[in-house]
Formats: sequence, structure tokens, C-alpha cells
Amino acid sequence: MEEPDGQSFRKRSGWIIIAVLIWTALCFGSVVYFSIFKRKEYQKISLETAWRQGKIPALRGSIYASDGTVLASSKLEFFLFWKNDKAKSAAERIFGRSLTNGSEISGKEISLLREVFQEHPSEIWVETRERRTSTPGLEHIEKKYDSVLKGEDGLFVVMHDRYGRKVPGSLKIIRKQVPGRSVTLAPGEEKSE
Amino acid sequence: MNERRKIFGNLLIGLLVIGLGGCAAVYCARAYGVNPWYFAGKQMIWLAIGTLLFLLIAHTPFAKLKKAAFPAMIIFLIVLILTAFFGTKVNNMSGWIQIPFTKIRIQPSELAKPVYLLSLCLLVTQEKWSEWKRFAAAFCLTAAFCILILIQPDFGTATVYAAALPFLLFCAGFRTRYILSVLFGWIPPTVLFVLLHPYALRRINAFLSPADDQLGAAWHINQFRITMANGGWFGADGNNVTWANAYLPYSHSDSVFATLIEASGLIGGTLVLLGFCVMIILFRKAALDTREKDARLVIFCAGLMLITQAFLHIGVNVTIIPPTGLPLPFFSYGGSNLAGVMLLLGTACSAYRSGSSESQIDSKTVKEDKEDNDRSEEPCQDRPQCG
Repeated sequence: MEEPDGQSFRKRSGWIIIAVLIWTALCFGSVVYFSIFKRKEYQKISLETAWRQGKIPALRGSIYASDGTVLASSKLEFFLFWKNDKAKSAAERIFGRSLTNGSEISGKEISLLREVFQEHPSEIWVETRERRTSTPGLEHIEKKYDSVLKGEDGLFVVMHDRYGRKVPGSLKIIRKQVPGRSVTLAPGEEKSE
Repeated sequence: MNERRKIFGNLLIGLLVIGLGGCAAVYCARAYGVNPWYFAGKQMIWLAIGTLLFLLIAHTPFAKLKKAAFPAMIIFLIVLILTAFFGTKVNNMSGWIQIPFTKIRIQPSELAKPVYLLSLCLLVTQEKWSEWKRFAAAFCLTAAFCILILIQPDFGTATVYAAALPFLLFCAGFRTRYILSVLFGWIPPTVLFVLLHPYALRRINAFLSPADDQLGAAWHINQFRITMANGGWFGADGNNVTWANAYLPYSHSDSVFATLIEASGLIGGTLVLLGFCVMIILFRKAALDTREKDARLVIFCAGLMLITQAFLHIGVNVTIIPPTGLPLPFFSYGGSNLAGVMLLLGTACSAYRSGSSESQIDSKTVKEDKEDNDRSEEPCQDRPQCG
């Protein structure tokens, strides 16, 4: 026969197990409430809080004369900027040359900086600019064929963390950019207004 | 003996599986960091250390552990005094000691749990003392530990220590007046703590009205809820714990349960909850299988200390109680916490191995065999079997 101490322990520990199960049920209920019933509401809050959209600029098309001479063309240029010397040193180590803030780098060199971007988020970044070289006096041609030359900008969304840094792997392209089409002018067209 | 070896073997495998699951949880929580293996790798090292500590303590005879309990308790009280006033400060809490010439920091309040529990059980089961004397001794011991931990300040860990006392008194059969006096006795230090630390009051206000200060004190509560919402039934798309990594503070330690829900959804969270329920039921079963009173209390209350910490952590993460910093046993990043949990389990195991009814039966069987052998050496006419 079980001793009285053992019987008392059995009974009292049983009550504690019941209390544990009640607490478990409360916790489970809360998880169900937020992960199932309130899911859409909180996901909407998260979208508004964290996701930002941005434009992917389309490269403007070129203008060719009737004989094939390039009259106007665009080229993307990349410029590297940083906030502190640590990020600068990391980039200089990769390139094996010294850099100044705003140095121009090539598209290929951007891919070499992937790890530096991860290690120094929001401390080093690349700005993209479009440089258009154009023969003087082509403004009326640019205006006339603008709808063909300009293409269509793309759209992306990216998640930012609580420090404003982009979350790696969160970039989603909603719409790809469509580069502008090039235009070949008829003979003498570049001179007429 | 084979049955006990089998149970012990299964327990060890179970601990390693859960521990590795914890390492996976830590990895998920830092997946988008610069080096996602930084915390998970360190956790694996601590798992190995914790397992060795578990084996060491589990194989130590319980009688030896009982002898060492009070001297160890005094050492830990001294260490906690030194930590409270000279400890290393991390996140505004000076609860760590940095080991000299290394980068390793340990948290004595986590490692002291088995010593505290064992000392408490021994005090409560002193047969020669009156009920009042046993209660007073246990209360003073609890108060000493809790005050030293509250000074750091670490309200969460102090609550785990304080909660052990009423559970222990209840299981030991103390009268209700003693248990109620402990529960009411916790109110003044709580009120004093809240008055001395305004951040605690802000957290309570934020918990009561999370919509009022969404970008301030209620921010953490809202992040828990958004993280859970991202989990859904089976986890976020591709099991990516993006929100926990990006927005949840301490996603690898104090917020790891919410991170788990984002990774594995309602189903994963439910499995963890059920796992802890099964754990405490098994602790009770092991305790009921033990005849020695102090061993029985050590086994069950070790489980209760683990469950209290786990359920307080889970309660914070599912936003049914105000936020406080507590790691989830096995799953949260933290070497001292993992080592402390393994030491606690090792102590319970040692108590079970020496105090189980099977070991009592084994020793009874040996005694009966000895009596039979002695009887067979008696002259025939003195033996009842002889014709």
C-alpha cells in the first residue's frame, strides 16, 4: 500500500499537472488566434511597415542616322558611396586599388562587392545614373520619338528591417523594365524641325 | 538494471535531439545575419559541454550531491553577490561574469538552479524540524537568491527561482497558509521592482493597451503578433523567418518561440507546447516511481522549474503576459542557460537512479537472496523446509 506521503504527493502533483495543461491551452489559444484568425490583419500591418517599392529605370534607346552613325546613346554608370572607413577599406581590399567617395565602378565590379554589402548594410551603396551622349540639336528628335525611346520603367519591392536596411533575399521584381527601342532616322530627318 | 539503462539511454538521445533542434532554431533566427552559423555553432559547443555535465552529474550518487548541496549553495550566493555588484553589464543587466583572458561570459544565476533546488528540497524535508522552521529556512534561502538576482536586475530569472518555492511546499504537503504567504510575499518586491525600474511599468502599460504606443513600448508585443501571423498553419513561405530576423528583438534568445512559429507555423508551435507537457508528465511519473521523499521532490520540482521558465517564455511570446527576458530551455541561444538546464536534468537523473523503486526492489532482492543463503547454512533441523 502506498505511504500517506506518496498519496498526498500523487494528488498534489496531479493538480499541478492540471494547472500546466490549463496554461498550455491558454498559450495554444493565443497562437491559434494570431496565426489563423488575425493573420490577414497583421500581415497587412507588416506590408505597410516593412515593404518599400522602387523603380527600375529603363535604358533610353539610341538614335541612329540613316547611314548608321550613332547620334545619341545612353549608358548606365555606377558610382560607389560609403558612410565610414570600414566599408571603404573593405571595398578597396576587393578592388585592390584606392577609391574616393563616389568613384565610378563597372557593372562587373558590383557583383564582387556582394559580401561587402552584406557585411556593411546601409554603410556602402551604389548609385546608378544614366549618361546620355547626344549630338547637339537633336532635342526635337528626342521629343518626337520619346514614347519609343523611353521604354517602360520596371517596379520592385524590397523589405527593410527595423534599422532601415534592405533584408537580403527579399527583393522581388514586380515588373521587369522594358528598355527603350532605338530609332534610325530617315535621310535628312535629323536636320528638319 | 537493464530497464534503467534503457530509460537513461533514451533520455540522453532525447536530450541530444531536442538540443540539436534548439541549434536549428538558433540558426533560423539568425539566418540573414552576416554569419548565420556564429550563434548556432556556439550553441552546438555549449550542447556538447552541457551533455558532458549532464553525464557527470547523473552518474554521481545522489547522496554525494546532497552532501555537496549546502557548501555549493554558499559558494553560489557569494558568486551572485559579486556578480550583482561587479558583474559584466550586457543589455543593462549586470548578470554575467567574464572569464579572464577569454571572451567567454557565464551567467551564474542559470548555473545555480540545481544547487538552489537541491538545497531547498533538503531544507523542506528535514524530518527533525517543525513545519514552521522548515518553511522559514526555505523562505530565507529563496529570498536570498531572488534579491541577489533582482539587483542585477533580472526579473524573469528571479520569478523562476521564486516560483519553485510554492510548488515545492505544495508538493511536500505543507499547509495552505505557508503557500499563500509565499504568494503574497512576492507582491512587495514586485511592486518595489516596478517602482525602481520605470521600464517595467512601461511594459505593463504597453501590454494592457498595445494599440496606444505601437512604435514605443508596445512595439515588441506587436512584433510578436506579426511574427506569429506570418507563420500561419505550417510556417512562412519557404520557411523563411524573415520577419523574426528583421524586426523581432533577440529572435535567437528571448523571442525564439515566436521565431519557431514563423518557421514552422501553428503545427510546429503546438508540437513544442505538447513536448513540454509530455516532459512534465514524465517527470511526475519518475517522481512517483521514487520512494525517497527528497529525491521525489527534486525530480518533480526540477521538471517544474524547467516548465515554469518554458511557459513564462512562451506566455511572453504569445503575448498573454507582459514582456520579460527569459530564454526557452533547449531552444534559446545561451550557453549558461543550456548548461544550467543540463545540470538540473542531471541532478534529477541522479535522484531517480538512486531513489527509484526499482533500485529499492533490486536491493530488496539482494537482501532476500542473502537471507536465503544464510538460511541454507543452518543445520537442517532448524529449517522449516526440512522434513
